Amino acid sequence: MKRWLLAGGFALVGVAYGDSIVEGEVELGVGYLDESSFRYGKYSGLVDDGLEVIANVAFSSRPVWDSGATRYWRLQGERLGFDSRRVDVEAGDQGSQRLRLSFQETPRNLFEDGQTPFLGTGGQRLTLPAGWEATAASTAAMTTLDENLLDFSQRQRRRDANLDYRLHFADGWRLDASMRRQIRDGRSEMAGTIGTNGGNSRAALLPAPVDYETDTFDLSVVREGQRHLLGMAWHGSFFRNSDRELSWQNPFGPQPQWQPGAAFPDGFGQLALLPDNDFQQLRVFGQLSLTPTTRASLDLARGRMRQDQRFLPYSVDAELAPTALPRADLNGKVDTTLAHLRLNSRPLPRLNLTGRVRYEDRDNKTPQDVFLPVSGDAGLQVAPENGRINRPYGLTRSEIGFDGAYRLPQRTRLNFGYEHRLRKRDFSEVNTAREHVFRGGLRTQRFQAVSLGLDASHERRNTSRYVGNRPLLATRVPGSVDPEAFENHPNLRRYYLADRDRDRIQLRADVHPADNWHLGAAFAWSRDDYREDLFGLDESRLRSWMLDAGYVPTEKVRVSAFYHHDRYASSQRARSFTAAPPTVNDPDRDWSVDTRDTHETWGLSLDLDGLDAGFATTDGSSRSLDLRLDYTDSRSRGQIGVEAGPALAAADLPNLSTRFQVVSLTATQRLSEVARIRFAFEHERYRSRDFALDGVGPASVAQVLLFGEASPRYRANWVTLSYLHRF
Amino acid sequence: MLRGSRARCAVAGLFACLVLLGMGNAWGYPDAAPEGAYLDHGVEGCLMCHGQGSQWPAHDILDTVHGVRGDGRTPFAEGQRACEACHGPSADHVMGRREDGGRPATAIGFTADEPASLKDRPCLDCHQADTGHHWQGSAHQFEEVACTDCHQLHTREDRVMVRLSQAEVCSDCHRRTRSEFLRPSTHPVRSGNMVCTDCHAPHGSMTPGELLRGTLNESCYDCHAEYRGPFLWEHAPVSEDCSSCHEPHGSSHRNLLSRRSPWMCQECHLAQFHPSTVESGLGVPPQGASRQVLGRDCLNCHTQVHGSNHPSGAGLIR
Repeated sequence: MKRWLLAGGFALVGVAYGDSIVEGEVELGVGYLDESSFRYGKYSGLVDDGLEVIANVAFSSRPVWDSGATRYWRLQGERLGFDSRRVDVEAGDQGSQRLRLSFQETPRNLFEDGQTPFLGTGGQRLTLPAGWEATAASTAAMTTLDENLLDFSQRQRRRDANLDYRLHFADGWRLDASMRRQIRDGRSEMAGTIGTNGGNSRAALLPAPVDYETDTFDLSVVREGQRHLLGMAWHGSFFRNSDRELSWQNPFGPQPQWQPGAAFPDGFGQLALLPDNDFQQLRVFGQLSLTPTTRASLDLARGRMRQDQRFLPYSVDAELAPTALPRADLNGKVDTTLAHLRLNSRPLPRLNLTGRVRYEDRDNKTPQDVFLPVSGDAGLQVAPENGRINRPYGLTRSEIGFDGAYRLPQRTRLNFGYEHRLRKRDFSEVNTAREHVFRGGLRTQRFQAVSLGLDASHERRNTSRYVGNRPLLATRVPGSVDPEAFENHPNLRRYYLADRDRDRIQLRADVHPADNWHLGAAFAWSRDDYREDLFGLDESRLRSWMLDAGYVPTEKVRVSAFYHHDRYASSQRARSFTAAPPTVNDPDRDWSVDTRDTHETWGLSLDLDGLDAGFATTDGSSRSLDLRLDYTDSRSRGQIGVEAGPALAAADLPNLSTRFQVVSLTATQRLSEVARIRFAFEHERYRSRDFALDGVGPASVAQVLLFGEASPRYRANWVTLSYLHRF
Repeated sequence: MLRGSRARCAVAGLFACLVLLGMGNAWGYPDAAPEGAYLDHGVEGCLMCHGQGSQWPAHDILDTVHGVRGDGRTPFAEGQRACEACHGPSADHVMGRREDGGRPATAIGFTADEPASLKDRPCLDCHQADTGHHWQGSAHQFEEVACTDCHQLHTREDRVMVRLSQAEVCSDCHRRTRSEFLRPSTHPVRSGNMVCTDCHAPHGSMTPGELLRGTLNESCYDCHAEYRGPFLWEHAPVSEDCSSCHEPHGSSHRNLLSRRSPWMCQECHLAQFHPSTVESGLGVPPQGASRQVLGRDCLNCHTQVHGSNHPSGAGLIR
């Protein structure tokens, strides 16, 4: 496909038009990476040390402005020597039609220092090597683990091809058509678990295949008149996964509660990989100028998601599941409806008003059935009365609100607004949630060289009665469980369903002490308060402040700097309990966690444009130099404090931390009117500490076979020297 | 859809007032049309002072899409008013003199002192269809961000239209987002593989956050269609709102998660035994090795966190 696109692109480029100016620029050079680093090239693909080719091209043909010609084309290629290359081609007849083609590759490197004993990476069946021994259901009993570990890197590649066409036809009519194909391949990770419950289950991280294709189509027709716009659009998205399932040989030895044959060497587990699905949507939209100052816009969309991939069996071991599936596939259908009406008006010279109504519905028409699962490919199939019923979640959101802005004297503006939101959910602990949102703000440039902004908002969410065991009862065969039974603690309030007050304040000040100076400061604060004093997320807070400055001493020199500090804090409360009633109500088993994530970022930037090198080129033009220097330092720190009641034991966790520093320098020397030479240097350093990864090997956890990779840490220097020629 | 309460009635009333205010528009207040006399001398007259090498060069506009005379819609086409098509009547600017000897400004100078609605007017006269459908009432329009605050017309390359420089333009105002993209887990914007307009519609949309698709989740599915489902066993907040768990711009936690797991998971999952167990430093070496804390924590087993299509996958482990 890439070749096809490139060939098409060059064919377009080859078309010559009269009355045109053809120009372009080619950059060719070489780059050197001093140290191999998987994460430095996370999205660029620059992983291996050594030399790389620098190749960027940009060509275009445009009409001479007064020639009357309208045809043009453009070709742009970026990072052509890298795995993150991009090519864009556009050709058209301005005002009539245009065609765009683009192709982009994006690597995604996650880690390269993982280890796994599984053979068959990339396939759908993972097996253990000959000589594998597992005498018990523990990683410690994998006596031949070390000698059988193979390197595993998690790397993916996304290739994205787009074709867009636009045609203006008749008077005021426009057709847009686009096609996009995304191909994603590589390796991801999944966890394979074998066991009948949380106590006896054993898991292994597995290399999983990624072979995805998504085709997206958009087609729209728009009619534009003097006072109106009407349009219709179709959107289709079709996802295909080449791999349906992932099965793996159980690396753990026998566990007494498992069925015979579930452990190594005979035991296998099987996962369903992400199923094929599609979505199609029809949309009509329009805009009407009701009066010279009032416009109404309306969008209506109806769509359907479908998923009907054939089910895998209850268990990879057919003997564990004698009862057949209730259906061969899900026949999943979700109908979506969107309606959005907006009215914007200026009824008074100083007043701007916008009102809007939004309705969004996710009507899940997926059929419900009773499924009789096999727990983790290691238990017997559950009896019919213990079957599980799927819950096709549905959701309706509706919002109505307005915003106003009133211009006060002396370059001051007052903003205000209100919104009412309503959410209705199926199969949820809370059927209905209402939110009232009040907003206000002030902007002023009253003072010479100073502009100030203030925004504040208050949101209050009230929900209907929280019925904690509603999801549990909905998934069980009627009559099979006590109506008072519960799964989650009865005092839990899930944060996205709980009563909540949210307050936000933002301040912004910009000062221009002189024409060439800018100083800015901003502060933001927000707090989510979950009003019921129960279990779950109790409170979360953000405090953010920022300083920035810019100085332009001359037309050719720009200096800027910024500092940004964000702190997110949250606190949650919970109770550790077992099935026995005394623990459910035992406050001595309460625990709480306070987390604090702090981000600090600062940066400096210096731009020097067109510095005169003091001598002229052979063609008489100045041999000027452009310089850009950037430094960025970004740190984050995560602190997790745990407190537990007298019946429990707990200790604080080590801090999480990252630090990311980048220094980059780009110098472009003009050699002549058409030639430049560019030198670029980038130093990037990244350090991180993560207690979940550092010092944790594949067998560190008794019940889980991990990859054992460390948290990322690298240092890389990237130097390029390139020649740019303009045609 | 909305029934009952006084609050809804109040909002509906306000909304009706808005409609009436707008529609009863014997007293509508559009921006006054720019006043003055047109020169209609074409572009040549302007280029005498604004040509190449001048103090205020503007000639590069002739090398852009706006300078194509053959396209009858452009300002420089036959029958159009060239520079005055956007800058308004400019006879005074060319012929007149102020008391201090300087020239009066053009009717629309695109200066910081002019209201955005005035500056946007010539743009929207032509671009109503392709960019203006959701413009009125959009976040940028409401904040009085003018077209020329982001777009540069007198240069060959409009930085906001160039993928590699677009994010710099956006971050001039969205400075917090710039910092978020420097966090350990982000979308590939800093590397240039993605740009802001891959997700956002800066000229407005029907979606909160000015997203390209109709809902937040539909926008995410543009690149992550594998998570769309529907699945046999769904994870309710996933099918409802990706941002229940993920930060779109940047996070210090893996996979753009808002908070650290397993505690984030335990904010909603507090069942008996391991889901409600207190996870602390006692589960980290050298004090211990908890399977709910190390490695992928909850995802060490519950790997199908976006939904499972396996008949035995109700616990999202299949």
